[in-house]
Amino acid sequence: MSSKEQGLHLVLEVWRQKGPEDAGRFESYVLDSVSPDNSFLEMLDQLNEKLVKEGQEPVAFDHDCREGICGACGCVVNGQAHGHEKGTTLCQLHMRSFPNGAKLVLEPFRATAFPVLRDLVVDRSAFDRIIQAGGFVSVSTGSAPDANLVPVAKDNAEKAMDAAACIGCGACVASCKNSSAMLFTSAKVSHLALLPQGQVERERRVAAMVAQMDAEGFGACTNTQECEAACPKEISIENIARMNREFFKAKLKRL
Amino acid sequence: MSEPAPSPGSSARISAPIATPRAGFLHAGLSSVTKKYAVAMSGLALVGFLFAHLAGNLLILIPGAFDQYAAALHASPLLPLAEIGLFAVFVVHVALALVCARANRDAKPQKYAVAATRGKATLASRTMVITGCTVLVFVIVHIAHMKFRAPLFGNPTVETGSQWVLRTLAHPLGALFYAAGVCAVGVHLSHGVWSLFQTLGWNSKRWHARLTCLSRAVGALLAAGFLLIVVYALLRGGR
Ligand code: HEM
Ligand code: FES
Repeated sequence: MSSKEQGLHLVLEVWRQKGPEDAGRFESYVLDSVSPDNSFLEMLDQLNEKLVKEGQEPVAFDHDCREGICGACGCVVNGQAHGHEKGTTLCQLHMRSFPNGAKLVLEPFRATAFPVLRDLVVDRSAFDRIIQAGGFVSVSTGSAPDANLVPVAKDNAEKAMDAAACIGCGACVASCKNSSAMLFTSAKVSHLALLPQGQVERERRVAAMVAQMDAEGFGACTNTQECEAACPKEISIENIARMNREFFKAKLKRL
Repeated sequence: MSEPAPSPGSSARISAPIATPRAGFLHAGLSSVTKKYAVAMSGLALVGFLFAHLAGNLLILIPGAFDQYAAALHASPLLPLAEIGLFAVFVVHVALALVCARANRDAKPQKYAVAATRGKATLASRTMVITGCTVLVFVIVHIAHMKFRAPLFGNPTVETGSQWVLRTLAHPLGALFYAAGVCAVGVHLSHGVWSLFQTLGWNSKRWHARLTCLSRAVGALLAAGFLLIVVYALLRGGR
């Protein structure tokens, strides 16, 4: 029988941490008969069923949609946020991406601004507070206008859509050596700065979001571009250049 | 009774206070983007200076030209002003770069057990603090050696500035020290130049590849230009 029929044999090194105050440590587990068609999260489900049967605590991990659109899932697999596949969330990563007998080291996203709550679950509410600082449109624009009533240049529409693809998973912060949140923040700033609805609050938005980003304890971008490569939605660092531009323009106007 | 629901047009958040910048004397109340901006602007000014510095120094390849140029420079009443300006730019660059670097380290206190990259980070981009600090040490020694003629690489009796340059650069330690210093600058700029464009917001998908290419070219060109002077001194055997 091939290993495909038997399923994969995996050696897992998983970060276990009881709570925010616990120091945490790696624990080893061996898992057999993992279907290559399973997603990474289904593999973790399988591990947890095994742990529960053995009377052990299951591994805590975040998940919700399991279809790559909500941004809830994510951990670091062998040093890479969401694993090694390009443009893929952990829930959309399939076990066929790993060879039989693979050793997988699972760690939570690491950042001062993302404290570990338990095992692989981190507190990403810092992102929510960055959004609350300005990532919205609060001026009344009436009910939905007819399509194409407000013209948006094709190029801007495309760029705004690309930026809006950010699901706020935090892989950018996780993969950055400085734990910078500039890819996330710049995607949100760009998305609204490129659309007519975002114009009224444009300057205040970028100033407030950058200030909140700093207050949360994220680092500053040094342009190593690892975030863009790790992003499951492949958000471009072009957005960071745009955010810097927006920030500078906003400061000049305030002078 | 429950509170009335806020009407959509009157969100309280639009007037919510903007978070205050990072506390602490070293951050000087500046946001991360502002500090990065200052590092990039001062970096750009330093790159400009390096090109002018190299152009002037290459005159040493033409007999007599360098000493003439040096005499003209020193005769200018603007020289001390330019020196103070350059020093200030350098201090801003180093101080803010190190303040950012420290905050960046604090933002990621725990590294991953498995170190991996996606192949985007380069040796140069990951070692900006190291190459930067190497340049800092180099610049301090360089000024002591060239400006104040500290006898670090032999102490030849000379009549002209060009003789001091060529004879001390022909000293094995001098040649090695200068070669290492200019290489550190080259590596720093192979990432620094495109990085400064990105930081200042002068980048986009269209320009990205061209700018990274330009960055490597500038780093290589400056390092090679200064190395040429070292090689010339060695070939001339210090005469
Ligand atoms: C001839 C001297 C120097 C030149 C021409 C130069 C040039 C540059 C440039 C162009 C940048 C990119 C700016 C940005 O993207 O924000 C940069 C960044 C930086 N420089 Fe320098 N620099 C010099 C000396 C130094 C020194 C002495 C240090 C010492 C600590 C230093 C440390 C740094 C650091 C830490 C960064 C930030 C790295 C990053 O954002 O990736 N530099 N430099
Ligand atoms: S669980 Fe929603 S993106 Fe992975």
